[in-house]
Amino acid sequence: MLNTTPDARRLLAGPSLDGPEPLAHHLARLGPLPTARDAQRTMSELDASGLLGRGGAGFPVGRKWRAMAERSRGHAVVLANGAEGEPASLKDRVLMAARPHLVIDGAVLAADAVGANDIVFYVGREHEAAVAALGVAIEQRRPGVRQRIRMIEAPIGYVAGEASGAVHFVNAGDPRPTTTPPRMSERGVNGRPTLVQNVESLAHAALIARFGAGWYREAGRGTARGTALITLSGTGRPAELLEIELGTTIGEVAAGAGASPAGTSAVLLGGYFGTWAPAADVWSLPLDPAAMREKGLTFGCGMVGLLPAHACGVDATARIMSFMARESAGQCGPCVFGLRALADATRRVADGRSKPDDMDGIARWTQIVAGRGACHHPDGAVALMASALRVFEEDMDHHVRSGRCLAMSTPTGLPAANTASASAPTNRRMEVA
Amino acid sequence: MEARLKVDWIKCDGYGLCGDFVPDIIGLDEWRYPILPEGPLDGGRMHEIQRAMDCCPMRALTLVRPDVAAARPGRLRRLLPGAR
Repeated sequence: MLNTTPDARRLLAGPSLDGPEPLAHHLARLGPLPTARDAQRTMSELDASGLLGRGGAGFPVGRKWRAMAERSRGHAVVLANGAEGEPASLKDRVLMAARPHLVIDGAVLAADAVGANDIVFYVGREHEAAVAALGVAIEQRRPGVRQRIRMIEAPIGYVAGEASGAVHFVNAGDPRPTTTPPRMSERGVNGRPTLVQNVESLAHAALIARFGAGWYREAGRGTARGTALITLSGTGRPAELLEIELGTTIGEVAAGAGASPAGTSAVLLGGYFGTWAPAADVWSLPLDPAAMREKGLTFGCGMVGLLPAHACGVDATARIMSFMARESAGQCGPCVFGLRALADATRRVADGRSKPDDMDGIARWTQIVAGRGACHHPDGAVALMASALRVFEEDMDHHVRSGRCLAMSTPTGLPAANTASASAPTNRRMEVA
Repeated sequence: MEARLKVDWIKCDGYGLCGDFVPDIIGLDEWRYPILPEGPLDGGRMHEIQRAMDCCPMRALTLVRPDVAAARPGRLRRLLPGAR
């Protein structure tokens, strides 16, 4: 087991995750939230904690808040991003549904620290339990807090959670990303400087502000510090949400769910924006953003998707590419046409009916699509494709030459590539030091 | 003063006239969307490049100069006439 000593104060500690923790329980368990007067100390603790954003980009949270505090002149807006359009991830929806007050605490702290009166909760409308729990929790707060907060249900869609897409929807009811600059930190909600922060990052901040950077850093393996939520899938069981100590290895997490290195051919890390890696290469790799970046991998949204040895990686990639093509906002030509062409060609290869120039096309589009869109949706999609070309090179070749798969093609165990597929997760809690 | 080209990908509709005008500078993909050169532009050909930009029915191409890009965007916008 990954456990050392239990701590009642980590993200998933406390009562069952099946329903929202009531305000009274939350306060009894964690104590009061530091006030606006402590904002400077809160930011110092965040800096010292080394907390990185958990929305995918991994930017240092303390530094982000400081930069906003310097430019906001008290007019900023905090946008708590709980859109979680990533079908391979469960963490944000479960966290909001089970620990709504912790997430609200983080948003209030952020608003006090950066000089924001208004807080917008931007929550994926398909995450019904999260929307309901936050709605109730906001009403339980004292008037001075609840009047600062409004909740907006994000439309279903992968790019609706992108920062500029989120702001565009809040401002104009249109979730398509916009051309940057201006950045959201310059001109976002209602034209005001906007801090867009993922809800898991906010929840961590709410704990670090209470218990300090030293407490946060007590957890962690090796040089990695702190904890993180991850979603583990492809184990033969429904996708699971875990809180791990950063630095825990992929193999430990997988073995905890009954997977073995022999039974796993590859691992998808970081979500559909992420990277495939051969299982043998990463089994002992720590789940730690720094260590992963060194290997050209991404922690991203904390997804660990195992590809069972009997499943076809080419087929899994074709499904993901098809999802990514469908989820294009439809604004930028290279994304619209490039991802569609990539998805179609990859599907033909997976099905053993490739055209003679399909592999050349895949190689070329993977090269030329990146960087040619208003947002980073196409960049993420082709990065995943590039990793598939490396990891499944032999298998793709086999598909093209013989029309057949090296592995027996069976369902991959990765979530079905549609956004409404959030089937009931089994939530497994893990206590950490 | 090294200038670079920038495409507003939301505006660009793939007419491809820019690439037709200076094919050795601006490439086109199979859907006629531009592929921009990696490095800085050849200062001796700025006249042609300006005409390629002017060809664009969507006004999607702009020149970015490092000294301008380095200026603070907020201040710059306030200085530009007609800017919001």
